[in-house]
Amino acid sequence: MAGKGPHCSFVLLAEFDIDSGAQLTYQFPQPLGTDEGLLANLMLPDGAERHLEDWTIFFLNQTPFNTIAPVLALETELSDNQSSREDGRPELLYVLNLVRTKHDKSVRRGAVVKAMAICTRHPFIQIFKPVLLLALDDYFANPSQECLARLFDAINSMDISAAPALTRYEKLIMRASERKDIFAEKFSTNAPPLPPKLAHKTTSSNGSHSSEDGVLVGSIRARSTTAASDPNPTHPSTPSDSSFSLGGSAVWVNDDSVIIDGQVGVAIGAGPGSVGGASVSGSSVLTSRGRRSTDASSNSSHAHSGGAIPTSSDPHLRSGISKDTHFFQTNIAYKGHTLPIKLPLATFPEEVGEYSLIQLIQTFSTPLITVSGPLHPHLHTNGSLTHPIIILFNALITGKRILFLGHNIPAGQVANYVLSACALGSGCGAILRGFIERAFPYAGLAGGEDWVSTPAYIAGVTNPIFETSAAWDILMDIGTARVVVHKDIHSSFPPTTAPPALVNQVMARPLKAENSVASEDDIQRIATRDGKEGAQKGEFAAKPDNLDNMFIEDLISAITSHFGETLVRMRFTEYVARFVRLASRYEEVAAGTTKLGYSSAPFVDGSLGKGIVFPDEAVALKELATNASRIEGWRRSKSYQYSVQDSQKYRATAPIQGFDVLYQLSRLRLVKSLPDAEVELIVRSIAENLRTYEQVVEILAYMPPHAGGLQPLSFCLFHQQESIREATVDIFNELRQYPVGVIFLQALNHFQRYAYVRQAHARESRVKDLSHGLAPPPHLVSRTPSNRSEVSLGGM
Amino acid sequence: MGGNLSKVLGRLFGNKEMRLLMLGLDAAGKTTILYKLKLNQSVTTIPTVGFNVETVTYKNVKFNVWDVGGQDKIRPLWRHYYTGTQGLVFVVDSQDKERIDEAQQELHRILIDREMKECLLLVFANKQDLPGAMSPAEVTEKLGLHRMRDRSWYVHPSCATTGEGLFEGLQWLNQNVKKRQP
Repeated sequence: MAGKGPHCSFVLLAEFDIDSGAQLTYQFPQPLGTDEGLLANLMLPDGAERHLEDWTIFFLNQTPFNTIAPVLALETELSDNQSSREDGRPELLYVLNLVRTKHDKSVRRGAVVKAMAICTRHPFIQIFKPVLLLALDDYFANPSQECLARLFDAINSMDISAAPALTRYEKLIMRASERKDIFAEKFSTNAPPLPPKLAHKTTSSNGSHSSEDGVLVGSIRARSTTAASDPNPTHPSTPSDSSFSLGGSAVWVNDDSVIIDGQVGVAIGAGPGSVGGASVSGSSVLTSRGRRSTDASSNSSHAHSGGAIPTSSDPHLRSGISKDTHFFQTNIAYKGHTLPIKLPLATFPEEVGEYSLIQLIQTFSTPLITVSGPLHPHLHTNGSLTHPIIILFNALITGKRILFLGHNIPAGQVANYVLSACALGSGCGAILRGFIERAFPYAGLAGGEDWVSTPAYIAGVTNPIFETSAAWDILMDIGTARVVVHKDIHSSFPPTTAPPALVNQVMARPLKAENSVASEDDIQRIATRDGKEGAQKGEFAAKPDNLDNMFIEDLISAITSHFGETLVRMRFTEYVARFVRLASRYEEVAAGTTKLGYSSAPFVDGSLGKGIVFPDEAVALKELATNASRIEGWRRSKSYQYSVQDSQKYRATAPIQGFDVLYQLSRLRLVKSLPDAEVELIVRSIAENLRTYEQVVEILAYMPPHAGGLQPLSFCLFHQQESIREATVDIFNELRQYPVGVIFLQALNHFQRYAYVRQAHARESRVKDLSHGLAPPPHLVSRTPSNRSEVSLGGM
Repeated sequence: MGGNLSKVLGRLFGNKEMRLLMLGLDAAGKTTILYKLKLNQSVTTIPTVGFNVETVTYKNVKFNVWDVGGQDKIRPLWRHYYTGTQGLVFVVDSQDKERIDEAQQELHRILIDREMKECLLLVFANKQDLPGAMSPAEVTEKLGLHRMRDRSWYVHPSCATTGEGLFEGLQWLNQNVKKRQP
């Protein structure tokens, strides 16, 4: 991921000369080959002298004017063919800049203003803040080019080669999980990540140094050691009895009894440990498992922490490994200081810096907010009741020019709003892209003609002159909580008339829906959309129960109840993902086919459905009608083109092929009284398609914790049809092969976990009875209530 | 619409707005003038990196005053503020005889811009308290204002730290902008 090439491409120093103004003093290691005045003005933002310190962010290589042309090619361009984007333009450079004003009575005119900036190809620029602070201090104390060289070398000697590289689906899982040990197995010290099954085998063979791998490897290692004594080791999907009891306890050990008394956790751990023998690996399994049980309990809703048993093998007590696996811990050595660096592992390229959706939502959700200007079908999807955040989202996806204004607000804060907006539009980088490339987090007068003429720019300014002088479509005023739609929006984006072919399609298609008058009304609205004045008025009908309004209200109440940024981001990712599926359905309805790839079909005997799931067809039409305008707007944007490319790519490379997994899971989640035949086909298809680690990761990525995790599948454990229950056990057994799967299983409630353990164990006993004619080992029968109830439920 | 209404009401009740742009070489005293007008206090200023903007109300007129940094390298940014400017306040350091020619060149460069064709010109011959300061007449001559026929201009002596002369300048702007209104 981030291993290649220098971390820091350039270091810049600018200062405000009291006689001549903003000037670029140094460029290290070589001149960037772009306008020096532009760089100096971006580094010394408007109002810099009013704040003692300000962080600003801007990008290079976006427009002809801010494209760099260094005399010597960057090192990476020699070796790394990814350094240019698809359209042949050079890769974006992110610039993190610190500007400081020092008041000093002893100098003429009483103040010194200097700024230092780092240009990097890493989007997570925030990790460089501490070292930049130190370096600028140094420069103030002792101004020379040496300071820049020292900073440059310090950053480039940062070692992140051991940082695990995560796939897209792994990233999706990690960002949705709040567990600090998610993917702990990726942090193995024997560096390159092997295919997981293999990797676990190897760690079991040299158990001594892999203990940092975290809590879960313990159980897996134990399982494979016992598997070695298993007479039937060639069937990994049907683990042996004793191996199951180990892994199985990982699933259900988080029991009330364990939570009440941590010792019980140890006792349970001791059972299989003693069976496994007194080997060294066995005892390390013991301790780590005892700890894990408490770990799981602290993660449960009981929030019990008293049961923690610190042991020498506790990976969290050791140095060298991340306390939170969402980050890779490394450091930058700078002038004798060792600065700890936390490298985020699950970010996407559209997520630059430390953005905050919560801040963005709160700023534009205050009761004092004013929204003015004309209504436009692309923006006001719920008439005058459209929430400002939804207006912003609509503006982002339909390619409007968006100006964030923060007069007298530090430029760094304004820049964060721009970055947050980019994340908002892209579904936190997970769904859409093409926002960062047209974002100007801090923009000023210098180079103004350049960024203002960028189509669909998203810019942050501190100078109110832009309100009158720049061409924008929507103005988001941070300081006064004001959203203004430009009065000329209708001439910049004329309302479009749907081509007649499209109207006919729409008219013909939904007739299938034998639904109420309301839906016919909706059809009419799609058909005449944007066509006549009358239709337009209908379109701006504002409904308080609009889905988007409910979504935003939901988010705001989550924020006021102190749910974190993670949840808000997940909800927005989900929202954007759903929007894309909705657009796909719209294309089908309007044009017959969709380029977005999520073509829709209902479940018919023998073949699974696909597309977007609606509770019923009337709701579908209503949603399509309310979204039609912004979808039309989006279809003309660049982010739509990217989305078409990306969805093709994702479909071609998805580990699970042949059916629409997300659709099936949504069916399980949303639809009441699903036909048995469909449920059976769903679980069977999933079970048959979970053969590799990549497939397991993909399906887990579709079941994030905030949406209930494995819950939709776990209900199939209670289905009346045995085949469905069996297939579900197959699925869970497969998930249990991997640490990440175990984490998901642990998140199920006791009842669900218990149901799984009971059924899985019953099956194993059966298998064992059949193949060996042996009764289950006595300690398992007597050990837990699960076995007793298994006996009592056995006949059912 | 709402804006027009308030303009009409403003005219009825004598409230009006005027947009001023204050320019001049660096260290002429622009920011000190702005905050003296705004706060009636002599503030210690540091060089303006970008701009300052404040609204100053004087005799029922709201003056929207933009003060933009004057250093050599940032003067090219001045033109971004021209549009909509009704009055240019050009501030001259009357003691700085060495740079009065430079000031004259910059002033003329501003005034030839199409956007500035209609605007009034007020020159503050600032820093009159300092020894050896040029008189308003001298400043007028050095700036070549007598050659300007198509523009109303006015030179007024001022001292930003005490505030002397500042409101007289605004008064002139107010009276002259009135005449132009139909």
